[in-house]
Amino acid sequence: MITIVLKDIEAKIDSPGMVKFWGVALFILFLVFVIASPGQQRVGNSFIPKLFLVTGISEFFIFLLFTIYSTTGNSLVEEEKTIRDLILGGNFSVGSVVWGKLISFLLHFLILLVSTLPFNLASINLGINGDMKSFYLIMITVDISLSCWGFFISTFKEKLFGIILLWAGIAVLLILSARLPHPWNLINPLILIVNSKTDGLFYYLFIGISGLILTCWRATQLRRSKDERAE
Amino acid sequence: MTEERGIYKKVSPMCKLRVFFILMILSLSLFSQYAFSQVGVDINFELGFDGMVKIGRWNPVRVTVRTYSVPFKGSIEVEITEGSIILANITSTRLKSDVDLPVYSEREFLFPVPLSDVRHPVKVSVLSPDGRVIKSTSYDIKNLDMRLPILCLVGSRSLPYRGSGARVLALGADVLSGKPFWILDPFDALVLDYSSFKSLKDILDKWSLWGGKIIGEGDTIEAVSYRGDTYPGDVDLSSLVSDIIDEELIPIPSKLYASLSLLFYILFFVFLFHYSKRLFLRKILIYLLVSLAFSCFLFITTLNVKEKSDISIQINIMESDKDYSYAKVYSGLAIFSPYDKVVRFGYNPGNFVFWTGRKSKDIAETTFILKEEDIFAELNLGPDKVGLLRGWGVVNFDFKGYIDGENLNLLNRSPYILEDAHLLYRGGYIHLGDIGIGDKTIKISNERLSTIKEEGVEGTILSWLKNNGIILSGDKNYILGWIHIPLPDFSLESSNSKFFTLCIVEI
Repeated sequence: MITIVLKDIEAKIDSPGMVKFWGVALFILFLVFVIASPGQQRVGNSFIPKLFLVTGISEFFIFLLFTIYSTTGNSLVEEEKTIRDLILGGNFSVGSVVWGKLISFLLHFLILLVSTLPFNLASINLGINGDMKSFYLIMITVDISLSCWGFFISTFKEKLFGIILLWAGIAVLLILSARLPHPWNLINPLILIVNSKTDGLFYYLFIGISGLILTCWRATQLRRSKDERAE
Repeated sequence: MTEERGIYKKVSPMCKLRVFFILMILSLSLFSQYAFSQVGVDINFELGFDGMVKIGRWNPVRVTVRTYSVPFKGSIEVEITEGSIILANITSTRLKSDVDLPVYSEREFLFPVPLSDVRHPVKVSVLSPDGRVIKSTSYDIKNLDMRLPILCLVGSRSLPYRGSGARVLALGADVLSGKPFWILDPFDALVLDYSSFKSLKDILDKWSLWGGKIIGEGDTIEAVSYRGDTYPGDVDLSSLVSDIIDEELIPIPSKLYASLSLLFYILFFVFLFHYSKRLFLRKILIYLLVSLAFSCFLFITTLNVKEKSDISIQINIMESDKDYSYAKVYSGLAIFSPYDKVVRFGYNPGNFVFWTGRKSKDIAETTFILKEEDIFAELNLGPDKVGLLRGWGVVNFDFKGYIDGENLNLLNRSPYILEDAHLLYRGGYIHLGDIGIGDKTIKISNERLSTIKEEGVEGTILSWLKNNGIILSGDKNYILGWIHIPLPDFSLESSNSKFFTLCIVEI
């Protein structure tokens, strides 16, 4: 498992595609910060924005894109092996492949999350309101649970349909769930970020575990078919 | 249930039992109601002078808090609302004091309340330590006393100019003795010889409780308690001070500075991961260290933004008579911050009093916290809310000047330097420059008569004072000068304060 984690992270860190992607992402975040941060104020005509919220929502979308790209079969990292590649091409156990991929994703995610720290700290001091602790908790929980579904899709040979389905599911989650009555609307991550609430993260526990179970099941099936073919 | 016996029906034992049971429940419920009222806290309050409220004066609000079988710890709050709903200029001021009472006890709290608007009821509430309202009651003002301000003058000495609308009433010790104290208005200085002071001590003690100021022999300011109850004065600087703060820009740290730091950070990220040929683990370590260093740097440099975002302006007018070594001060204070923050303004209630200012709209909520020793105001500033206060008081100020032929002799024994001073003389102005501490003689001649420059903030203040008839030029001569340091007895938490004190000294 450690081999998978180390090799995976090395491939991601040294990949020019991923560096370009994240460089552009940080530059977008920078532009959002420059446009939204408060300038000179006047008495009776002042406006201080909720800067942390603006940068936080931007970060959420950037990390969402990163999670789906990174887990469904990374086109940005050429040398990275998907779960399907590792199961069919290697001798690693199913558990070590799934956990190794999940841990490597989590580590890479945390490394990139650290890169947004200067933006968030400056935003929380320059704007009004903001709860950094709950924001990071929401980001980590939502992205990890969605990554489990991304890994599930990466186990298929034809991933396009699965990716479209996953994006459609995320769109439904973001748009339609906001109209649901309380507490069902707390499944919407944007509502959680805006209100700095962590109550709705309970839903993501189920989403994540169900994705993980499906990934494990699919990986076991792949291993069986490989073994049968070898026999 | 019943059986016939003549014209009466015999009541069965079961029915008797039911009636007894119902009566017992009723009596128990009545008793429990009585018993329940004993638990908790009761408030009772009284407004004005023997049921009469004086308009444009400080009025006492006496609140009696009574506890029963449980002790009470919390606070008591008096809310006074002024202004018109139609004109959208409602301002609300709160006076707050802590309450800590043991079981079965009673304590009276005294809140001095200036009433200039009787359209709204005065609200009194008892709050728990977490801010919940336990009991609340309000009082509609009905019995009004609309007398004009009275200047109480005892003896033959003259008192400083008090503004228009004041009547002069000569009173002696024999006239005052045996009278209720509120025949004197809490408005002006009272000058007495020692014997009169002793004979009137009781009445003056009560008078000073409601804001009277006693000046003893030798013209020294005597520290009289409850000075905070004094009427805020007839010169309201609220509109002037709020107009001047409108012209000021709020200090916000450079947006360019934070943005450039972040851009440099992104370039570092791209350079490290794209061009550096180091081992990936070493790259990650360097990157994490640099990220944390950048985060700390940006956090520290932007940490004080909210703290330093407010700006405050205090404008004072200090009026001093040639016969006295003290000066009356009218004060206006405006504070603004684009962020939500609470600013505290403390003052010595022995010499000053402050109250929420009046402006058309958007005044920050102000709570005056009453303590044993000092009083401070908490201004809850928010986006586009101006904290506005008006005040009145006295300061030690020994500055004398007299004209002797062509010479102007100045004796400045105050701790202040009067900057950019002018002599208002024969309908014109003579520029005197800065007047330092000590004695000085300046030659004056009619050729030096000129006009005061009215540019910038100082010019705006001067114009306003002239237009409102506070600076008079004519039969009397005055010296005008500026002090730009905070006067004593004030403490303000604002990070960016400006002080303008215009001294008007009659010579």
